Amino acid sequence: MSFAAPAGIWLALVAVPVVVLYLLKIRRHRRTVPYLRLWERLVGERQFTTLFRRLQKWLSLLLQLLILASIVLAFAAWTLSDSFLKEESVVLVVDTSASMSGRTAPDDARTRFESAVQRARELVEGRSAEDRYAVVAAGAEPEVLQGFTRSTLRLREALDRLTPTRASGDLPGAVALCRDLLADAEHPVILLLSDVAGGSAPELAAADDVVRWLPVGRSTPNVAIRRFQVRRNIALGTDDLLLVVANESDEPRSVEVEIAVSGNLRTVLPLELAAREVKTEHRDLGAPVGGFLEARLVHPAGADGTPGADGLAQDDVAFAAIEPAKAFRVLLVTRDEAEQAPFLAALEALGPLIDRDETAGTTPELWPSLPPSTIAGYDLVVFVNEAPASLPATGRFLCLHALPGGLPARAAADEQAPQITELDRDHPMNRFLQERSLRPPGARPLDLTAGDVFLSTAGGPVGVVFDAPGRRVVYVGLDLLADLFFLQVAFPILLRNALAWMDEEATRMLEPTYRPGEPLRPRLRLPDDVREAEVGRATGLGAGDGTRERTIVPVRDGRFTFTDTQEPGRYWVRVGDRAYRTTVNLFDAAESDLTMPDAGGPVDPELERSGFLFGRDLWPILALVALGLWLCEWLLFHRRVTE
Amino acid sequence: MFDVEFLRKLEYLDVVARKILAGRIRADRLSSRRGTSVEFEDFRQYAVGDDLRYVDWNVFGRLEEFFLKLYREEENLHLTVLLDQSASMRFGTIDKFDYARQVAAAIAYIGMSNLDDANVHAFGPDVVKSMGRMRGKGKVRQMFDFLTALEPGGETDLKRSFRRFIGEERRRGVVVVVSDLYDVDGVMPALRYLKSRRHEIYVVHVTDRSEAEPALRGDLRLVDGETGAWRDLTITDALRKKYVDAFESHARGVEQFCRQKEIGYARAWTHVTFDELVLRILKRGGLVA
Repeated sequence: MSFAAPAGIWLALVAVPVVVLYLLKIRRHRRTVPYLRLWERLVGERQFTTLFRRLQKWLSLLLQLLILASIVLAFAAWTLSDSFLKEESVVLVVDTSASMSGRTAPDDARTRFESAVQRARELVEGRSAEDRYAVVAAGAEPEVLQGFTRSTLRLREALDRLTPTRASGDLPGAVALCRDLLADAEHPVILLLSDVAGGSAPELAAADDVVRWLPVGRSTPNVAIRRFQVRRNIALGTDDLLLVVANESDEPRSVEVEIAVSGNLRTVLPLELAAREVKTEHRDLGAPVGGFLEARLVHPAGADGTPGADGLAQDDVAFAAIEPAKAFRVLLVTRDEAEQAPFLAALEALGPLIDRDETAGTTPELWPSLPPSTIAGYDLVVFVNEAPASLPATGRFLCLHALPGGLPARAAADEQAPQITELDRDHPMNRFLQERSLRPPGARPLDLTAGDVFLSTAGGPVGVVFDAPGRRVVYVGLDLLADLFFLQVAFPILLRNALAWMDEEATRMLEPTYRPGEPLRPRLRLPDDVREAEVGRATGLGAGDGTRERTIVPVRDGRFTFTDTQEPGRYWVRVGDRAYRTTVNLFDAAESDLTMPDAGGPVDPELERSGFLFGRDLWPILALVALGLWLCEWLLFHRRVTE
Repeated sequence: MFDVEFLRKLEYLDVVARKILAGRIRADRLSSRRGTSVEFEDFRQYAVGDDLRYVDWNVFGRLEEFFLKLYREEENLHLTVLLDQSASMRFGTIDKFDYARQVAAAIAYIGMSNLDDANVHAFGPDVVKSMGRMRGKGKVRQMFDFLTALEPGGETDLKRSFRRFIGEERRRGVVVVVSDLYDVDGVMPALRYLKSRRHEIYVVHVTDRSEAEPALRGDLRLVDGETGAWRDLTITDALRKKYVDAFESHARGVEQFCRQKEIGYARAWTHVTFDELVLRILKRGGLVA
């Protein structure tokens, strides 16, 4: 038993005047009659001996006091305890994952989130007063919105704070969190208000007696973009597009995919998808463009011309990022101009990949005199047949048939007509290279103590990369100048591969895409002098709309973390004068599958337990009781005077 | 109470009474006793000591036996009004005792003005006050004074009161009992006793509406108007109805008893004016039959 407004109990003091007035009321009035015996002969002794008659007046007072008690309890907001039945500690876990933004059902335009919150409100309003409730939002990161409380008001406020997210849910994590909350509870109950997305809810309910799943929504057809990615092919000088679209329904669907680059529609892909079909599309976007790409599913318009739609709008849009095309600046270090000429010719063959205006040549003798700023101005320094005793701490270097000092390697004896014995096909330096095309006249293998070998001959490693923070060095121990054909064919490929690998930093700094809510961290360590980075984002699923925000995040020890990635969209990080692009996409098949069990899921009868009296606001009932008692009192008096 | 207006009404009643009783005043009233009037009633055989003047010689001539002629004695009417002055008479929306006094005065006045002798006895449980026999209108003021001086009180005990009355008044006559008859168990024995003394009795049952249909309801302490005794009662509508029925049953029982015993009976509702009541009684003829 509890009182929500204990001050109302003071109203009980009214009982004093009620009793006094009643006693005054029942005081008998004297009436003189001419002949009392006639009255006495009528009633005899009955009126004076019947217990009921004696108690009748006190029964009337009792009824009046009961009426007052009912009013007092109503004012005090009395709620009756049903603790003798069962006191439960209930955690309401409301799924706020992306799938909950989908339609509740084909014929119900409400989102599943809205339906879940509505159901949660009903549970809160109909709960037993003695039951403790807590509210947990099960988004990407489970969050306790309200700890255990018996206050309906607080629970309502917690439910009001619930917002749907565009991230994948973590129901197992939410259940684990609830388990921690329920560590000391005698009768723990975890209610999952969720759809079947990910399948975790029914599995969790099946695996744990404490967990009960309250299904939200019914099966709704949906088509989703599972993957959208653009990759630059430096070797070929093109951008390649990868698109994966899935039909998450049991009926065939026709859709079109609009591909836009930096807001400009580039192409439209019509897709016919069979039931449950996952279709993968590759497209060559042609010359590198750079920037953000957007893929958008367009559903057939309705018969009345209304725009087409499916169950979930979020997975109808996807974003991809690719760096703008770049012309590399190369410094050739050769012993003389004669040695330099074939290499310049080879660079010329690379076309727009090389910035001819900024490409230059020098000699080993002049190399030491070059200032560091000049060296840093080149994207790649190529040493041919002769390398310096030491390399700068930063920069990218391709060493051909010459091993610079300071590296964890030592040059072994030169090898004549070497045979390639090992070629790592997966290494980026070996892309497009064939073993049979590598028949150099001579090679200079290394004795290594560190380094990543991608090419070896019988004499030892002849292709090694040395990757250190701020400095990348590729050693190719083949004598390219000994064979002009080899120089003209193999060297451009090696150079392209070297540039691609060395420039990998630009695409490796951030993942191509992140999940909503996934922290955005640099994959590579930033220079020590960098203190802050600017993170920008353009979010919003609508074409051309959305918000653009910029946030300054601190950089410590070459690292930063940006966590506000709940919204899908375009993100970029600017460090100094360099910008790195990435995107946030759902790309979660589980969230996109809006199929629900036909039966609608189990219904727990105990959840419907909300006693008629227990845990409710009893004032309406008490008011009815008071009214009923008043009627009894009236009838009693009427019976007394009319019987 | 006995003001000019009252006297005017009495005069009116007297005139009306004369018309109703025309030719039957005074000598027309025959006594049941045999006496010396000229109206023959019967014969009887002579007995030693009889007055020879009453011997019917014609009969002796034919039968040679002595028979006496008997004649009905003529006498004046002895009217007595027995007025109940118990405390219960002080009840009613219209005071029953005042009303009863007016009725008694009217009846006595009519009697006195018709050269009968009239008397008023006010009876209580222990006392019987008598006005004394009076005749003629000249005694009216005395009668009024007597009635005005009466003060009701005490319980009603009709038989006891009538016994005292009989003890004081042995002469037969017309006895008018004006009372509320609140002696439920004693009213019939008392009337029977009075009747046994060969009086011609007329009962005027004075009743007030407030006692026939009392406006009582709820938890009350009822106090007896005569004895002061009290009882706590819860008056329900049903009980009140029972009372009304019982009261009416009592009145009807008395009326039926009176009819059986050839006793005149009239219910005197206080809301009916006394002159109207007396007139009705006179018209019915019961009082002077």
